[in-house]
Amino acid sequence: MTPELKDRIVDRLIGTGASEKPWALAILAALEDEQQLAAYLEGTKHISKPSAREAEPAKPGTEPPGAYVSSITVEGFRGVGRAVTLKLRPGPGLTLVVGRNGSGKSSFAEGLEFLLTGHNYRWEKRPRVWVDGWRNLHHKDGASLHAELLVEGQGTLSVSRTWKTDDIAGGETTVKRRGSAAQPLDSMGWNAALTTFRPFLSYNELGSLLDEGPSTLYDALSSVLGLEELNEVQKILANARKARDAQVADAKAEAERISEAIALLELAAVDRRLVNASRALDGASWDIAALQDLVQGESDADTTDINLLGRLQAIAPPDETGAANAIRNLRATQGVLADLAGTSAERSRAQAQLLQQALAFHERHKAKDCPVCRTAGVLSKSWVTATRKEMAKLKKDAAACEAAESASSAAIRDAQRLVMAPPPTLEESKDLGLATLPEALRCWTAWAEGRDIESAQLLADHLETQILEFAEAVKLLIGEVRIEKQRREDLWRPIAAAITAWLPAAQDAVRAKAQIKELKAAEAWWKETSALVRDERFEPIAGRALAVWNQLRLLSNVALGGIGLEGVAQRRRVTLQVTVDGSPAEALGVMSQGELHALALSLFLPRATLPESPFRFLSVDDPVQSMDPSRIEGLARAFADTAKTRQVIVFTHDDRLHEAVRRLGLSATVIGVTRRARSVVEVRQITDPVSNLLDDARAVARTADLPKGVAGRVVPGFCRTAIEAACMETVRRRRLARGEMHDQVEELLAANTRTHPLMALALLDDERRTEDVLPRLRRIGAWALDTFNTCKAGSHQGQSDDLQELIESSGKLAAKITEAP
Amino acid sequence: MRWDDETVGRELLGFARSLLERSTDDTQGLWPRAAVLLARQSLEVALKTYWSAMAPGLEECSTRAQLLCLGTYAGNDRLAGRANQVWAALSRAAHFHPYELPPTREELLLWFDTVQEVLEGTEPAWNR
Repeated sequence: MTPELKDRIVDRLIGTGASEKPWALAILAALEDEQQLAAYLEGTKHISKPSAREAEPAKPGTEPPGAYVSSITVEGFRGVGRAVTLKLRPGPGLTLVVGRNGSGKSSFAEGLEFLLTGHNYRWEKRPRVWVDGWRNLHHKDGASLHAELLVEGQGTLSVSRTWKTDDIAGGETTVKRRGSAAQPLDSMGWNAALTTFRPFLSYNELGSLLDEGPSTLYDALSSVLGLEELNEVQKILANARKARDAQVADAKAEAERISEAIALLELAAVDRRLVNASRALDGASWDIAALQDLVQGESDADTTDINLLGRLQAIAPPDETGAANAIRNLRATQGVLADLAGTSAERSRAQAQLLQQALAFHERHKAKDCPVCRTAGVLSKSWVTATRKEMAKLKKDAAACEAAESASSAAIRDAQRLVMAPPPTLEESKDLGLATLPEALRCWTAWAEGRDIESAQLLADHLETQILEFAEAVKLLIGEVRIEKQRREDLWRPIAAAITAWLPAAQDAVRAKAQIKELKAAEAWWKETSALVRDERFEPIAGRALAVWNQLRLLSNVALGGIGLEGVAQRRRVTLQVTVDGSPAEALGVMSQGELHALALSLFLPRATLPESPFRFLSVDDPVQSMDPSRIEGLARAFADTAKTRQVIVFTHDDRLHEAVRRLGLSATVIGVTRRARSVVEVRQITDPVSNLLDDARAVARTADLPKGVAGRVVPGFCRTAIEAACMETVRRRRLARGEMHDQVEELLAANTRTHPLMALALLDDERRTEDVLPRLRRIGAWALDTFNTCKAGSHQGQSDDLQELIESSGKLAAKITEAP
Repeated sequence: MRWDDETVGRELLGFARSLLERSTDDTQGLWPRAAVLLARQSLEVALKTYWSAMAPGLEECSTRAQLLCLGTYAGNDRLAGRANQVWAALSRAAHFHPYELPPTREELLLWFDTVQEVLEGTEPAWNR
């Protein structure tokens, strides 16, 4: 990207406030190249926000050194047999190469084009046999093309191509500077410019440019605008966006594929892991975090089916042995209690206490009579002994009774410990579709009812009746759970693997989605900016094309209001705003063939003469065909105007152009081409600006009965102009050959239009040495000095014989000047 | 032909134009060539009128000579060139060329405009 264009873009980013948008950075990265944009979007490259530049004065369009054509030599090529050279004046000016159809003049035009481009428009549209006939039939000795180019600031270049075979593509074009080795033509770096500024225009090409459709015309015109750079950035942005579109589409397709795979599973609507995965994969935005949790098993553990199954599986099966022990225990303690039936531990203990108190009373008071029943004399020694014995027995009975009761309570407690409530997991797992769960739950609930039984007997009975059923039901459940869990894991495993594999792409896609939005905004802005830059650049060309058209159209009732480039890609086209007698119309519909040619010429003369072109010549082959006679004046003027700054070489079979140039008094060199038998082509200069003027002078001088003084006034003027033309021609040729830039030479000439300094420039190569002009002329001869003075005086009062002599000596002087090195 | 009266050139061009504007039955088919002849005469009269003021005697010389001298005397090579061109075009059209089509209305208008330009460009001389 050129710095100028980049500056223009940055200015516009800032100017439109777009530089504040995040996508402005993407545009800046894209200005560099595709890799930079990729790096920026990957986050590996930092792009800083653009800041306003210091305002710089706009640089004027720079003119590269330009090439003029000094000669074209053609041998054994197309209509030319023996080698023949077309000598041209390298420098601005109009040259008409005239010759009948088939005279071989086009062979020079085609030869130059082929030499420089390796192509020829006219043949490329023709069948193969036509192309193959490029070699001249009358000349089998050799085939070659040669051109001498004069390049500003570089001197003469020889461009040559020689064929050893009949293959037109054979041979290589080389370019050689004086004193250095020949190099391939490519080394000149002209390839792009030859397309962009195409200095070759032919009748066929002019016609087809408008026929081939609006996009061809658009391409031909827009190549000079340097729009490729703009399109390149557009492409970079679009590619980045498309890559992301594809990324998102791929991730989406894969998500859908996984979703479909889930949907096909038998538990798709049941297994909450699958349901959640499916839900997280559907919809406009994926729940990446949820999916990550799912595949890593870190989901909300309690609610996930697989975890429930895990917990079900972890349930301890009923302890049958423990239950049997408990039953036995219950029953045993119950037996002991039964044996102690009727015995009351409390009563025995109270009785024993009473007896103990009685014994204590008897001992202290030595009483013989019973204080309770007042029976006398019963409290004897034997009573004491018997009572002591009884008291001991009573105490023992009470202890045994207490132990039995305590054992029974412990047995009940132990048994009840086995009778726990069903774990909540069972209730929670109701939706898992486990066939054995209801029975297990029922059995467990029934089993758990034992918790409320106080009686060891009843409890033992409860356990005994429930345990087998309960244990079986739970075992069955655990068995089913194990199978179910395995089944669900088997279903899940491939899904989890697919999701795991998909997740990185999905994360990229999520990021890409955000970038697509940015890139779309960038693209829209860029499109708008491209159109703007394109219009800016096309404006001067359109303006000049309009000017040429107005010169060419003359009396056409078709007025061209504006030329524009519109649209992009498939819809790119050139718009031609045309009115016919004031009514808008479709340009290509209302124009005659001749007008279309004029229009094409109007569009392509400005293109070929842009300052950026390295070619200062323009070769036009047969522009007059199908052009109305009245338009030829305009054409001649357009060429002459172009020839003020460019070397315009026009090949024509139509002498109307020549005549118009002559009649209009336009300065031109005319070269005639004729072809004799066996393709012997002859080239001769018919006239040039100097001889044209002298011819006119002669015609006046020879006119009989001219009033006195008229010829004397007119002829010297013609002669002076002829000498000045010779001077200018000499100065241009010399200075360009020396390597000076065309602009500077023209500036020098424009600053020295008076005869004296001009002569100083031509003869002495120094416009300041005006005082040396006359001595120098005297050295050439007294006649030269006289001629100069007479012409300069501007009128001549002598006889008509003198005038004839003045014309001839002016011709001689012009020749002398032209000979000057 | 009267060429000493400066109005004649304009009159002739006016006739030429009017031939173009309204073609009657009696001018049908003839009008393009007639208009060409009138316009050429208008140009020649303008030149003669010019020369009778600027360089008496030159009006008697060939039109080619008059045209060649015009640039020098009028100090306007472009005007002389256009006069030369239009005179050549009118002369060519005035003669019968077997394979050439008669000029179109638009061509004639263009030529008339050029003649008009020459008339105006040479007028100051006879108003002096």
